[in-house]
Amino acid sequence: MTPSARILYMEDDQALARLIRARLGKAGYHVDVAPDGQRGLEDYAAGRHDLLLVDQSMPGLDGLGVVRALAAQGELPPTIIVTGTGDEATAVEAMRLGVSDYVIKDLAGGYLQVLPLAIGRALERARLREQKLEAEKALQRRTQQLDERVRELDCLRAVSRLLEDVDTPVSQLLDAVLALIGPAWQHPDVTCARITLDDVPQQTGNFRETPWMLRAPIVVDGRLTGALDVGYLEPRPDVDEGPFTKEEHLLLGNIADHLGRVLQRRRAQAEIRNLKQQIEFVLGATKTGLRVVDADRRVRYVDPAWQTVYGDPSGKTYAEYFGEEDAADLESRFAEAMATRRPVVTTATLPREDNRPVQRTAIPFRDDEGWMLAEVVVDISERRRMEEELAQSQKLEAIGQLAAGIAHEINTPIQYIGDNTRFLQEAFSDLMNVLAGAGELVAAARAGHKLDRALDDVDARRKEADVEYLAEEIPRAIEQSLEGVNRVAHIVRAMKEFSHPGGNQKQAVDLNKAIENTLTISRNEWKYVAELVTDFDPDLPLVPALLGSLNQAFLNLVMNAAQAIAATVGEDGSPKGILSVTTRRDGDWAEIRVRDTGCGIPRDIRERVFNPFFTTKAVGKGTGQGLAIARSVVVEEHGGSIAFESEVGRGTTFLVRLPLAPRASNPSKNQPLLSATTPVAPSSENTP
Amino acid sequence: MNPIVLLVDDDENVLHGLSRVLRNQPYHLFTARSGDEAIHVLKTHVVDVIVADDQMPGMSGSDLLAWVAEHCSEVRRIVLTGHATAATAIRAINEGAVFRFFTKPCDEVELAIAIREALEQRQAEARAT
Ligand SMILES: Nc1ncnc2c1ncn2[C@@H]1O[C@H](COP(=O)(O)OP(=O)(O)O)[C@@H](O)[C@H]1O
Ligand SMILES: [Mg+2]
Repeated sequence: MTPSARILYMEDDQALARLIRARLGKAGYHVDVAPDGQRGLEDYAAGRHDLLLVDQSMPGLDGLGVVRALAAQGELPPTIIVTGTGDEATAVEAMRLGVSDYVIKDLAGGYLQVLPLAIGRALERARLREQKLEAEKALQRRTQQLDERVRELDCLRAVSRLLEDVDTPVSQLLDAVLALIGPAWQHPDVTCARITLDDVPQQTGNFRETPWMLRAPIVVDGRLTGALDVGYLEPRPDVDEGPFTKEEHLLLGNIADHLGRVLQRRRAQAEIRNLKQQIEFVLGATKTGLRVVDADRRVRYVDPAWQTVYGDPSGKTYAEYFGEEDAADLESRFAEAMATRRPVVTTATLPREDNRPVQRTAIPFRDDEGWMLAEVVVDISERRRMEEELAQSQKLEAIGQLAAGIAHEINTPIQYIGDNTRFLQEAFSDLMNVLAGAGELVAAARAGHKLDRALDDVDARRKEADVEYLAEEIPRAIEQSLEGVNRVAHIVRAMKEFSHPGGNQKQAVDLNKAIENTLTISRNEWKYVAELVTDFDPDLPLVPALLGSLNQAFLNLVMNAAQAIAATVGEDGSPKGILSVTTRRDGDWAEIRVRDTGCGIPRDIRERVFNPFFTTKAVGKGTGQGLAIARSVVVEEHGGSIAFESEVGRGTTFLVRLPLAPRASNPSKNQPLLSATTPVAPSSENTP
Repeated sequence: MNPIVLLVDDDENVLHGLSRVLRNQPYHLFTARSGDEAIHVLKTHVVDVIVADDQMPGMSGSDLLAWVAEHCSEVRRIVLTGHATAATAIRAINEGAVFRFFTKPCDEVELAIAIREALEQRQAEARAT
């Protein structure tokens, strides 16, 4: 019920009209009465009525006429036709025109009771219809909104798909985004758009500034870099924000955000590409290789130079790509790098690249996919060549230094060999003289001459020759000369063996012998300051070694020991020091100890003594290369180790360990880790 | 009384060899095997000429001759070294004020002549004083 409803009653019978009006008034309706159809229509046009009650038979325009007129205007308001006579044709037409009810004026039949009910029903139906209409309208609105959302989303999706394409140039990309914006707006035909980046605009062909604009900022890397503008070229009905919907505003913001992120990513990618190019350029220029291997031993990256040698690494394992030989010690390097989380430095030769020598620094690092190994591979042919040259020149220098001592060692026996020989020469002629006298004596005796003169003569000659002296001295002179000859021969042999090492191939070397030779040729360097104590293991097996290099290493250690002792043994007759050299077998290793009772190595330089050119000695005495070369010979060429213990003022012991069996790879050295991905320049090995 | 010539060398064989070749020379030959021994002889005998090796354990020949130049400068000094370096020669001449400088191996006649000359100088000097 709608008690407040206002009813327009068209009725020519005024009495009845009053009656009904009173009656409906009781039911809560306000009733206006129009005396005929024409007047009724006029009243209705004022638009204040919720329901029409129309008498069918009226003078002039009858009820049906009124309904027809109303129906022609549009939708029929709730209308009830009241009629005195039930005429079926009229009823049918009335219903067809959409009247709510058709009520017979049958007072006796309860017309007055029926009417309010009919009115109530009609109003209710009208209300329902109204509601339905409203619901339909709401639905339509929702659909339209959804449509718009879909368009927006379509647009946004199209924009993101577009922006994912990393290869399209930026300006082309912006054009494509601009093209996607129009269709997403309510009025595509009047929509224009513009993207401004770093003050450079790019816009749709129809763009111009208008009073109806939306704008969203474009932020790249936290910096306001530009804006996205969308506008209508002509006025359009206002919705949420001027002619634009909230959603459009949001969409605009989304697109601008998206653009900002993509531009940011593009810039980052460009930077990475640049960086990669720079890195690869540096790698190429420095003949440095870079490879990355993942935990499955697959090659993740190799630099372009290697790709030209080995081809495309995609999907290949290290062994497949670089070859079994190269991969032989990958596991041990991997294991060590992973266990220590430090770079592992090794040297190797590349079997597929003319065996060129390289130094490999395997650096463990972690990325999103887990631990990997980046290996920086530096060509060291040049370094090797320089090292060899340096070693060669150091050797020559050492030998030059020895030459004076060796000359002394040889000249001294030559001196007394010469003296003795001249003595023997004289002694011989003296003795021959005695013999000649004896001969004459014999001849005189045979001839039966008197012998007195001859006997005197022999005596005189014997005396002159000092035969007793000669009898005593000649054997000694001979013996001492032979001793001298042996000395010289020994030195010459040692020299020959020392400096004639024979080839670049490892051979079975008698370490005891090699050390003895070294001590012999360097004898003059230590003999004035040190007593030599040797203790050689007679059962030491032969060691696979490069004799020449090893000799040089031993010589350097012995020279250092001699110089360390000389520094403490004054020239005023203070007691000699001790130079002791021992060899031992320790399992699979041969151990050589060179011990001196010299000055010792001060704590603060212990880290540096193996560095090339580090010396504490005066120019001419030291070049600083002795230990560097000894280390490289022992560690790099022989896979051994070298270390020392030292006490200042008491002496130093160098311990060299050499493997008894040849080793395939060189032992590695760990370097302090600066950071997981920072390669560390290798330095020379430090010792306790 | 015969003059005295002192031979100093750390290698005994050198001393023997020199004694043999110089045995008929008109002087007594004394030998010492180190600087210390030589100084002992110098303190106990009137030595006229000293012939010394340079490189020896303990006191070197250069040191010995420098000592002699300071403490008994009348003794003529001759160097017989295994290996001459410019440094030892300069030291021997400057600090030891040596009379002659020989390197091994040296001709024993040359050495014998040098010793004779040194003795004559020494005797001339002795007569003069
Ligand atoms: N046995 C030693 N005793 C004391 N110091 C030593 C010894 N060996 C080496 N050193 C120190 O190590 C430095 C480097 O030695 P090395 O590389 O052989 O060069 P050099 O002998 O030419 O100086 C030496 O200058 C010295 O200070
Ligand atoms: Mg050295």
